[in-house]
Amino acid sequence: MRETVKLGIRLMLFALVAALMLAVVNGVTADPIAKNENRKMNASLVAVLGDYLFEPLEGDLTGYDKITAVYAAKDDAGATVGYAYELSADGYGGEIKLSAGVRDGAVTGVSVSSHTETKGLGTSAQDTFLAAFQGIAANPDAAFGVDAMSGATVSSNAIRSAVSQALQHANEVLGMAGAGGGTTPPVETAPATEPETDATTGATTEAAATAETEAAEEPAADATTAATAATGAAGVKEG
Amino acid sequence: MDWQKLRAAFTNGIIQENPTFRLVLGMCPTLAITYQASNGIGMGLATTFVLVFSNLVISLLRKAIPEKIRIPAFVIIIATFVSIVEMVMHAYFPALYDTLGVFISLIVVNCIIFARAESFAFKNPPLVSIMDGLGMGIGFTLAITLLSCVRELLGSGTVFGTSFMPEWFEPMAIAVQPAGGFILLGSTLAVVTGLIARSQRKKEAAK
Repeated sequence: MRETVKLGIRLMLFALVAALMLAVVNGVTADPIAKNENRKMNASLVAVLGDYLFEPLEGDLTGYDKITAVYAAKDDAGATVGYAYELSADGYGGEIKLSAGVRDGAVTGVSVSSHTETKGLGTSAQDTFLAAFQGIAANPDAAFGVDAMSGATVSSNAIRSAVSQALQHANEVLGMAGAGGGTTPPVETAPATEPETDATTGATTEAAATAETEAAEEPAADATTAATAATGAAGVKEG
Repeated sequence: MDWQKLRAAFTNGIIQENPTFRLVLGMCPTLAITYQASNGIGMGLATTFVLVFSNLVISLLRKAIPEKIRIPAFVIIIATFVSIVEMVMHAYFPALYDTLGVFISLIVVNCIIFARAESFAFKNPPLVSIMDGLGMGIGFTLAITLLSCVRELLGSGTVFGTSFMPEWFEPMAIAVQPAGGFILLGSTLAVVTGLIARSQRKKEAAK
């Protein structure tokens, strides 16, 4: 009996030391593991925006029937660098699920995760069509400036209107002003804006709205401006 | 501690007592993951890490572990190191973690590690035990990497993801499936055993 207790206590000591070691390793690895899992879960978002951490944004999505989820993309330092959208569009043959990324006042990418459109029709043009969204200014009208896939007008329109709605949301709710709009430089509002501080950026958004028509005509130039400004800002941050 | 003994403990696991080809231990992970060369290396290195550290710790504690509870004590020590490997791999090598999956946790029940703990580390001082673990681990790594290269080459026409086969080569899907694993394990085992036997005969003839 006494021996059993003695052995039990010794075994407990071994287990205790083992548990301590595991606690230390867990403390070190928990964060990278969470990041990896997050990246795996949000592979479609990584594809359109880049390798960031995606945190779901809570918020009212009434009026945005095509948006299923909004995510804030955070870099390793925890700063918001852009927004990613999960969208659902009514295509010709049913629901089209897609994701879109917005950063620095420009669209970073659009990709389709699932669809039930007619096979062959338009699917070959899909890559070119989706790639055409890349770099357009993040204002809702610009999405319609992308040429439709011939023979797949309904699918094209569905995707264009879904992307357009995402951009509208980015501008109006998240206050990510279209590039080159208003008195405030876009970069200052875009990446740094937290969803809670919308009141301050309301003015910017309005200004951006007036500038939209101009922006739509010169999307490429605007995107470049934003990119240049962003690089400048990044440089300042590093310094 | 003389070098001779350390070297003997190290080389023992690589050739004379190669865990896969000579002792035929650890067949479960061997068959399950060797369809891809990178898996072989990853699994081999993970097992080597666990072997070295479990051997070291068990050897250090061999006087503190009572005979009666040595098995549960080994299990705790081995499981701890396996968990460490699993967490580190999950954190820093996510792709490898995804392909090896549950077989990382199953290193706990890999009989090579248990066999070395029971038959070597529990009876020998730390330094030799480390060398034994290292030798066994490298022997295991070499063996399963060789096997997985053969399986990947036949089953997918590639080795470490690089194509090595001529255009006309049609990959044999069976080689990457479990059934093909058995067949190729048997064949590789036969070839390696044959080679070792031949070199031994030569040595004897030279004497």
